[in-house]
Amino acid sequence: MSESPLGKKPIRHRSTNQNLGLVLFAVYCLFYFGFIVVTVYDYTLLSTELFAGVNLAVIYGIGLILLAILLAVIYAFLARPDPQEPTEAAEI
Amino acid sequence: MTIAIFLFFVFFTLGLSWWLGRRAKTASGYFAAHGQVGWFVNGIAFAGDYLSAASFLGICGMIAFYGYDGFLYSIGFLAGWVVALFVIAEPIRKLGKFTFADALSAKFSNSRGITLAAAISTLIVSVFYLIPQMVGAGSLIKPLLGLEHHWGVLLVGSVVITIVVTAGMVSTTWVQFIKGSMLVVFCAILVVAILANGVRKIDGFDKNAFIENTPPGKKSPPILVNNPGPDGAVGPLEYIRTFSDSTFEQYSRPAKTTDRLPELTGPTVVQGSSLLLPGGYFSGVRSEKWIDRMDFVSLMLALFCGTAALPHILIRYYTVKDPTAARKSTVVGIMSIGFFYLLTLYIGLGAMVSGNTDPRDSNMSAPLLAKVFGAFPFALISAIAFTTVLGTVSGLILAASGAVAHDLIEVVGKRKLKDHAKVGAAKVAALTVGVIAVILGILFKDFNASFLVGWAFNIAASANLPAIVMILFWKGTTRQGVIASILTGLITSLAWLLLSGPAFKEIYKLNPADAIVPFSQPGLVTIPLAFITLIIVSHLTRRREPITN
Repeated sequence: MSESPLGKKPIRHRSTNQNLGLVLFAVYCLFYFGFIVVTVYDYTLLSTELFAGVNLAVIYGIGLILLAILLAVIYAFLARPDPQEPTEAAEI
Repeated sequence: MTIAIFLFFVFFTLGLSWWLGRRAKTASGYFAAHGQVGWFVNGIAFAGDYLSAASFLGICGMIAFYGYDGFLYSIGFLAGWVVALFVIAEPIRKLGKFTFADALSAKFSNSRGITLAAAISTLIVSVFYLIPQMVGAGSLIKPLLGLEHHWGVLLVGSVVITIVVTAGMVSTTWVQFIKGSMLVVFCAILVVAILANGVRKIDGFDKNAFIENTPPGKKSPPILVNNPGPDGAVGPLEYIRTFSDSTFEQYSRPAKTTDRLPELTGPTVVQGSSLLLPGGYFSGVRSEKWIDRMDFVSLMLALFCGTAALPHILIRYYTVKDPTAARKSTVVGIMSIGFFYLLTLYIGLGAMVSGNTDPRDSNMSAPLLAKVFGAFPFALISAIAFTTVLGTVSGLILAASGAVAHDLIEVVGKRKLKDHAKVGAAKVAALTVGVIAVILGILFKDFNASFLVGWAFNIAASANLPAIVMILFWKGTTRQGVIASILTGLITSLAWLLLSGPAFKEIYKLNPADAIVPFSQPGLVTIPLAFITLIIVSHLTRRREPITN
């Protein structure tokens, strides 16, 4: 188990959050850079009608936006709070 | 009524800003709102900060003029938040105090060299991000108040400088919260109106007057000539399908060669399905040459890497109390920003089919679309767009002033300032940066706002991101490596942009084919270059100075 930068408390929870973040980041990268590769390889592939007469370019673009939102929500549910932090938020 | 609503918004924003600003007397309050902003408010304020003139005016305008390529910015701008949330948000919140430079230098005993490099980078990125906001403001003022572009820029500059000088992060946060909420809600209402209207032109569309406004060297925006689909209200997918089946035509005006305005050529028939593919603006995507396609790759990479490296976004992580709140507010930000970017596709396409755009200025497409639905929506959307510019510019100037007062004077200059002196220095810096932004906003008036923001993303991604990522994830990173990486990314990306085709065409008025660099967006070359520089320099200097944690 590693230690925090302050050298006091264990940071297993932090590693969990960080690992989770990196996994979700890798998933998104796969789709995002897939879009770039398809476009550069042959942009006409994106004209393929995929669903309800809408082409792959639009579906893929909207899909990337929705995927980012979905992964963010998954992260919010699965990430653990930092026990070093106070529990109550003070609002302005 | 338009002017009344507009003035109401401006004075409301100023009043709110002044009232809240009274609470920020200390440096912590001025720069970071005492680190006590609630995560939900901060999340919506993220959206307010991020949904700038480029997102609202620029993207919608680029879609209205060129089709799908504008939507590439929506995709890339949001993708950048994935990097911010999953890689940067929590660790950066743990490292910093006031500014981006704090975070970078924290692991190196607050190195003055890193602070200096990061402060310079913050200033340059902020100024490049400010230019399109000012350009957008100038575009907005022209049809709204009948004033010339430069008066619009001056007006925004004056109001924003007043906001920042009298306020600070607390008021900027609340202005962003209100603006971000209104922008998303009213754009959603606008999209409902677009779908209810269907794919059709405005009544009484004057084609001759429209194409006569096409500037030399430019194509007119596509004009809808045939819509085989339903004439009335349609659903979101049916709207796209009907647009795809429609036919458009475009006219071109050759570049001016004599005193007389050259004649128009055309029409060129364009299918809607073609407008829903990449390549309308970034024509290199459709080129046979691989090197031409790299412009698109470079842009998408810069947008992906740029968000997490923008100083005015990074400082918002310090306005919340802890890393968990930073994470939660980023999630709220992504949800609201993502929803907004879905709307931009419909607003842009709606503006195109309505025909109510100005061929001389793509940035006005969204407000002019609102005018189709009446004077009140036009006034409201224009006022929100103006507040959008005010909010984003406030955040940017705040980030820049923090870099000067905290990083340059206190850390680099080793002058320990008392709180009120520090805030005073920041306000002087805010005034200076604001004046520079106004001047550049007038000079760059012919650019699309999104395109200019793309430049800021390239610089931020090249100068800042490699340093942030390597500090967080590579223990071999050294102080010298960080400094070399920031300076390399900064100088090479700036030089590349100033030697690119668009700079040749729009700034130097030279033939873009004579540009020195092979494609316009530098990220593909300069981001890896900054990473490599950091690794090499760190290897060369590691023995003498290992990372201290």
